[in-house]
Order: sequence, then C-alpha cells, then structure tokens
Amino acid sequence: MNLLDNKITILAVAAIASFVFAVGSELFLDSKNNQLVKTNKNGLEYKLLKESWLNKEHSKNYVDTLTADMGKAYFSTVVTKKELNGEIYSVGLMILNSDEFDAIIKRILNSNLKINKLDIVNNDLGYLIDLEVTL
Amino acid sequence: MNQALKKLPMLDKMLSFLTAKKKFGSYLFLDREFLLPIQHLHLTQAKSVGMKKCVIISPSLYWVKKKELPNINSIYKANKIASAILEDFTENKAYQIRIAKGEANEYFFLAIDKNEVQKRLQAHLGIAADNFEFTTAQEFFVNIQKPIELNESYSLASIDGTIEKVPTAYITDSSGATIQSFVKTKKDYFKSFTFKRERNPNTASTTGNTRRIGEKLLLYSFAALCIAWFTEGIVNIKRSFAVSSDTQSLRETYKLPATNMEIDNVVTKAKNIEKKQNDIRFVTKTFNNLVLAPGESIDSIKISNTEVTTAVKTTRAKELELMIKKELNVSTTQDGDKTIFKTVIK
Repeated sequence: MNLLDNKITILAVAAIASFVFAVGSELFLDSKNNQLVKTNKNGLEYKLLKESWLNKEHSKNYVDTLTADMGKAYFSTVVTKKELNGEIYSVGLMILNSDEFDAIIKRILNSNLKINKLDIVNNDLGYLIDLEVTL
Repeated sequence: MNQALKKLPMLDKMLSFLTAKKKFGSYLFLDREFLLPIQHLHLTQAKSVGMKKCVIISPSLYWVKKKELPNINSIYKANKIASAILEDFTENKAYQIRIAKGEANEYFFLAIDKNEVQKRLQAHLGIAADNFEFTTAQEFFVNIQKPIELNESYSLASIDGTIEKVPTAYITDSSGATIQSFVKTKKDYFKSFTFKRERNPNTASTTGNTRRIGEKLLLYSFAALCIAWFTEGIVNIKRSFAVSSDTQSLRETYKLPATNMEIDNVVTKAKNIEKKQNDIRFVTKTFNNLVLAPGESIDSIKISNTEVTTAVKTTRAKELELMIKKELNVSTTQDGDKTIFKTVIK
C-alpha cells in the first residue's frame, strides 16, 4: 500500500467518523428541540393551571371584591359572615332580591374559586348563601 | 504570538502524514544476473517507514529510448506519445512502460520486461512481484555525475544521461562510490510503481496516471466529506447548546420547578381541582336553570366536595327527575312536599 492509499484509508476512516459525528449531533439537536417544545407546552399548561386554581392571592381578592360590592352594587344584599381561618375563607350572604341572587351566584360559579361548600336556602324573606372556599 | 510559534512543530507533526517522505526501509537491486540487497537508508527512519522494500530494476531488464521533446514539458504529456515511441513494446503485454525525465526536455522511454523481472525475483527470493514496489535505475539514479559501483564486476554509469550497466573494469574515472553509499545519501523524491494493477500495456502508463488522478479525486472527495460532515456536526452541537439555553430561559420564564416530577405533581393536582370544581359548577347550574311551574320552588341547594343536595318543592317529582336525569346521575327521596335530589361528585 503506497502513501496515497494510506491517505485515502485514513481520510475514509475520518469521513466515516465525521459522518457518524454529524448524524449523532443531528440526533442530539433533535432531542434538544423536542425538549424545548415539550418544556414550552408543559410550561404553558403549568402556568395556566397554577394561575387558575392555585393562586391564593387571586382567590382572596376575588372574595373580598365580591363582598365589598354588597350593599353597593347589590343594595339588597347583606354580608352576614366573613371569616378567614388559615386557607379557608367563609362568607355568609343574605339576598332579598332574586335578580341580585342570580347575579351573585353567576359571579361565584364563573370564578376560579375552589368551592368547598355552597349552601343556598330559599326562605320567605329571600336567599341565604353560605360560601366556603379554599384559598 | 510566541505561543503560536511554539505550537508550530506540533502542527507540523500532525500534518506530516500529508507530506511526501521516504517510505522504503531497504532496497534490492535486481539485475538479470544477480540480486543485490542494499541496507536501510537511515536507521532512525526505520521506525517510521517500517521495513518496506523497493526493487531497483537494472538496465539489463528494460529497454530504453532517449528522446528530446522541445514542446513537451511534463511526463504526463510525454505519456501520450509513449505508444508512438515504443510501438514495438506497447503492443506486447509483457512490457510495462515508464517514462523518466532527464535534463531540460530529455525524456527516457522505458519498456520493462515484466516476465523477466518476476521470474528473477521468484528465483532469487521465492516471492511474487506483487509484494514489492519498483523503480528503475534510470529513475532512481537520474543525474548521477560519477559511476556507481554495484559489485566487483559491474557498475552503473550515466552515458549521455542514460543509466547503463557497465563492467567495472572499463571505468577509468571511478569515484569509489558504491550503491550502498549512494542510497544512504539520496534525497531526491522518486515515484515507485507496482506490477499488480497494470492491466493493459498499451495504456499502462496512462492507466497509472488515470489511477493516480482517480485516487487523488477520491482523496479530495473524502477530505471534502470529512470537512462537510465535521462542520455540520460542530454547527449542530452549537445549535444544541443554543436550544438548551432557550429551554433554560423558558423554564425561568414559566417559573417551572427544577424537576419534571414536581411539574407533573403540580399539574396533576391542579387538573384534579379543575375537574371537581367544573363538576360542582355543572351540577349547580343544572339545578339553577331548572324550569319550574308556578307554585314550585327550590328550597335549598347544598354543595359539598362530595355531593350536591337539592330540595325542590314540587308536585311533579317524577317528571323533574326525568328532566334532571338527562343531564345528571341523581337519586331521589321524598321529604314531605319536598323532593330531595342527590348527585355525587366524583
């Protein structure tokens, strides 16, 4: 085998090695791209779910805003109870007007509050709501 | 700069395989009458070149024609007219054609008697010619000024540029140089050749050139592929690191926990909450949207994490149950004038 043959053999081996390196790096890049896509998907889902159902501050503010509207936007409604025990927020409402009742129920049900208990009693005077949420 | 200069010898060493160098450990001078082993050129080179042997073919084993070709300045061009100059030999497959360049535009067209060479080698060493590389005395001893002694009987001398085997007794201006001392000091590069791949004597020399061109093309192709694939690999690795960096940035943007298990735990917990809360809302809305007849009313709705209990004052309990069952799985009990609907939240 002469010098030229030696060079060809060496370069052929080097070419095969660099081909393997190129293919390997391509697969490595693919895996990194897939990881990026997966992280983005998981991140979006994580962020959305966490903000929706695991946001204590938002839940507390929502209940506070709702009760603050009683006697104002809902003039016939009275807050009968408002207690915060640890992560449990309890609110009692007495509503005399059925339109206001519908609006308040809609606000509660359309929120992302974690409802533990919601008792609605319809008596001769109006509606009594006992709401308990977990922050 | 100094560091770069210090690295130069190392670089030179790395690239040394690409540079031409002496590759034979020892030589054999093959004559029609004798075989002369010649010692290794330099002992220090033995390690790098191994013990490869090159056979120098004596003038007694080839025919030579000297031509001055003013318009031809390379062996490659001279090859094209070799068949015209050596027409007696090119038609005979037993001869291998070689061309050696002399001074200026002098060319030596050689017709090597392959059969004789093979026969002599076999006789002296018992080894086939396929195992050796060859050169001719004309190519190896080109431009010698003084005769070179082969043994006591014969020497090589340049007669008008043609290397001839002459009896030592005829030499008048002997310098005392022997073939051993000549090969030790020879530094000129020469091209060796083999017999095994030559197929057609008509095109023997051109085939050799074509083969070399083909090999060089192959060499350059491999080198180009090497560079291309290696570059692609490097670019991919670089991109991979950039993508990794982007992934890390995303994790920070979304404030993701360190491990995927923690992410999965949070997502699973939030999904369970979402499902339960959606169920609660669906059941409550279903009862709240119940169309009641005059005199009917919902007395109470009690919602807990596990069930929703609704008390409805009605006289058509069965009818309402059927309506609710279209949406929900409920159980019904009667408590005076009230019908109690219970729905389990899973």
